[in-house]
Amino acid sequence: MATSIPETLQVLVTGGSGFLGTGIVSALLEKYPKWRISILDHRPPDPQVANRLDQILSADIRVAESVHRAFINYTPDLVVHTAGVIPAGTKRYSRKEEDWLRVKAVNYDGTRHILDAALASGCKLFVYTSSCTVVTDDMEHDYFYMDEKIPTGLATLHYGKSKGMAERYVLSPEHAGKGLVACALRPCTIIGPTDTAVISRFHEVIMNGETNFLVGDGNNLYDFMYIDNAVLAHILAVENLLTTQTAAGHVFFISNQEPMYFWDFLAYVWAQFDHVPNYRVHIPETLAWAVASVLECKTWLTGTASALDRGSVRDGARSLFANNDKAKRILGYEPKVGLSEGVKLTCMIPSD
Amino acid sequence: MVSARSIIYYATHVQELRNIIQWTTWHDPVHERKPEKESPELKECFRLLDLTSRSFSAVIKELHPELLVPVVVFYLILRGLDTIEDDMTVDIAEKEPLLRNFHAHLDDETWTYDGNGPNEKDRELLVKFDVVAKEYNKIKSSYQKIITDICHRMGDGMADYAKKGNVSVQTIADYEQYCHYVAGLVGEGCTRCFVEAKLANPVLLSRPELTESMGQFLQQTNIIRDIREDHDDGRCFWPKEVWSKYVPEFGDLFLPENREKASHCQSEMILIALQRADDCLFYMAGVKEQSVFNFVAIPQSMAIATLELCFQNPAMFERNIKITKGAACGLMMQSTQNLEVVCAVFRRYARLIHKKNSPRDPHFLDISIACGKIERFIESIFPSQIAKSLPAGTNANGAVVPAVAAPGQKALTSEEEAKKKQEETEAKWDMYYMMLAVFGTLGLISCLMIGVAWLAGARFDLALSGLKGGNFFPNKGELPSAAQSVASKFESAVHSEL
Repeated sequence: MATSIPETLQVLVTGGSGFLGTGIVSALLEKYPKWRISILDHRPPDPQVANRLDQILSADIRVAESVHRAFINYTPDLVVHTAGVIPAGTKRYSRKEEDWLRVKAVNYDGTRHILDAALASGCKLFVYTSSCTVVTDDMEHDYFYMDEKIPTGLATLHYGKSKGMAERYVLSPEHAGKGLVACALRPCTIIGPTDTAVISRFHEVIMNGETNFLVGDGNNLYDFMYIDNAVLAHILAVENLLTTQTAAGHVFFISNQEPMYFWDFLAYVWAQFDHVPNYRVHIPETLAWAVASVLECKTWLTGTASALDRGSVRDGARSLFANNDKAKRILGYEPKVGLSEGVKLTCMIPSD
Repeated sequence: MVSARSIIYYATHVQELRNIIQWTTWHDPVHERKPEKESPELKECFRLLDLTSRSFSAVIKELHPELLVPVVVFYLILRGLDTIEDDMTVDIAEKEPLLRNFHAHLDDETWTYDGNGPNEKDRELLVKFDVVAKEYNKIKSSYQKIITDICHRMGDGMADYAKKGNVSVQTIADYEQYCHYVAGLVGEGCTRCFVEAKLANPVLLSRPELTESMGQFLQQTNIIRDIREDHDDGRCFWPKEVWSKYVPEFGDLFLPENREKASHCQSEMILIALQRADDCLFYMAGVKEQSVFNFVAIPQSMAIATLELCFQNPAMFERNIKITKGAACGLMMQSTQNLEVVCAVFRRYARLIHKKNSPRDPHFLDISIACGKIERFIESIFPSQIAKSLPAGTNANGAVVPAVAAPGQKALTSEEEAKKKQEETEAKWDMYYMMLAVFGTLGLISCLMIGVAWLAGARFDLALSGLKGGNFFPNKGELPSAAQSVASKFESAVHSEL
């Protein structure tokens, strides 16, 4: 067991071309210039880091054979597994079997394949990017200041369910028995200048002319986190596994530790597009839920896409924010970019 | 005394009227003064306290006996300093040494000061300062040490500020430093006294930023609210660093054409104060004794309510605005119970501020985050239940006994008798009129009684939920077995739901 951070290291970042992955790769290159950083992705890497990468592995993580081939001549010392798929828009609430299989193939099977191949190649250190949705995608509840004691496995939405399965696979005692030293991070919704998914979805609401309505009392709190803080937590997790390994076998909620009113976040984003609703109507959650149920029946009968579904009604009215004490205690995680600044930085790009 | 305006106000704000009645009828002081055991000097000190303090006098007088005299003396001494600082008729050459050496006079039981201008309202305090010094010399030396130290530092701070010729506060750091001298130090002195009396957690001494926030939160709120009054008196405590972002001259904030700019400036000032609110709750968690808790919690609750009143309120620039007496009584009731109730007050006002917050305001995002911070802190000490209470309808034991069942039944039987006796329609109508009269009278009396009980603070919500929960009988003694089985059934239903 190493007690100081090694001079040289082979690190593999899966999903290294993605939003979070690119951030982690850049941060590692910056902080540990002597380390050899590789990525595994089906997309080309960010041009700014491409020429500083050690290897660019291309594989379809859904296919065990494909992943296996990528590892034939490659043995990383440590893997940061960020690759995954987030069902976008209304797909998030899909209950279709084919959608589930697609999500599961990437998030669960993909994780199995990467972990198995890494273990087989002799790699023992593994940081898994899980998600707070492993808990919160159980739509039955609000989650006020949730911590890691809340059980997983109850998530009903595809994303949280698949991430939860993968998280349990990574941290299973069986793998620890084989010498694997792993931890999992559960970030909340990550925002940042290079991500367009979150902001564009909120922008859509303006286009649809729906900004005058909000579900519930508008007092529900949500966690968001700025990309730099998510990256920081990953770097701290990597360093922990290389030194004290106190994080081994643990999961950590990470966020900006500044929950804000969900509907205020939207209103702020809209204001960046010079859109301020003149009036706002609060729709009671039960009413919205009933309307959504009717619309869903119609969708089910006609096969067209529904504008409103029960899932998004719940998401709009729920409170969900996490307690980061464990990440602070064990990883020393403390967000370095405040949410206010983070949101402003995030919104600056599209308004240009 | 009671103006027509306030009659109309309270007729339309019954809840606030209820607060006033409840507070004046039900509030029992935690500790009471014992005037028969007090020396004439101490009696005089209490008189001076009533004379000089509008808001603090009542809470101070209810303090724990161990702290009562030290805090009265502490308050009067600081008030004395303040009276010298505030008095613009005292020349700076005289004022500066007076402020800096004020602490040195405390041991001198003959020292008094009559140099204040004739219009200074607290002039009498300094003229009769010897009684304060006499009481000061009777208290424990550990308290004396604290009081002298704070008095010394505050006097120096005030002297520095006065020497600058009361030029307007430049930066936010200046502003916070000013608040530190006039309020932060008071907080520090109080905290040290509380810990000395073993009535607060000593950990508070190792977290000076919490104490500081307590003082800053109160002082900043006053400075924000009093902007108009201070401006009319030729004073300005708002830092130039803030207001210069919106208007070139401070006085421009009051011009009607600058209303929007003034509102943005106001939000920034409120934001700076609001960011301290969670620290204040944290501090209050360290207080161990009820009277001390009341002493610290009442001003804090008033402050957050005042911030909410000021937020997005253009009237603040036109006149002195105040929370109503009814609201204040409600806040006092809620601030004299426990931390959880005070947290509920803070959460309520945070949400009211959140509701008024507008995306057009440049501080929209930061204010929302500041309110979220308050909510998160409260959640961290008093977690909400994740499994919500039983949804309506699932309660198997839904039979609610109507409160008026007994008189109703009586009337019914008399109705039947009447029917048997007289079958003519005229008599029937008589019956109806009688019933109407009886029920009307009963109803009116019930309403009056319930209303009076409600005004006096009866908790019908608790009574109703108790009935729903199957507690048909008073809790004293043994429950009848039937009710017990119902109650346990209900309990098991709750557990399975959890």
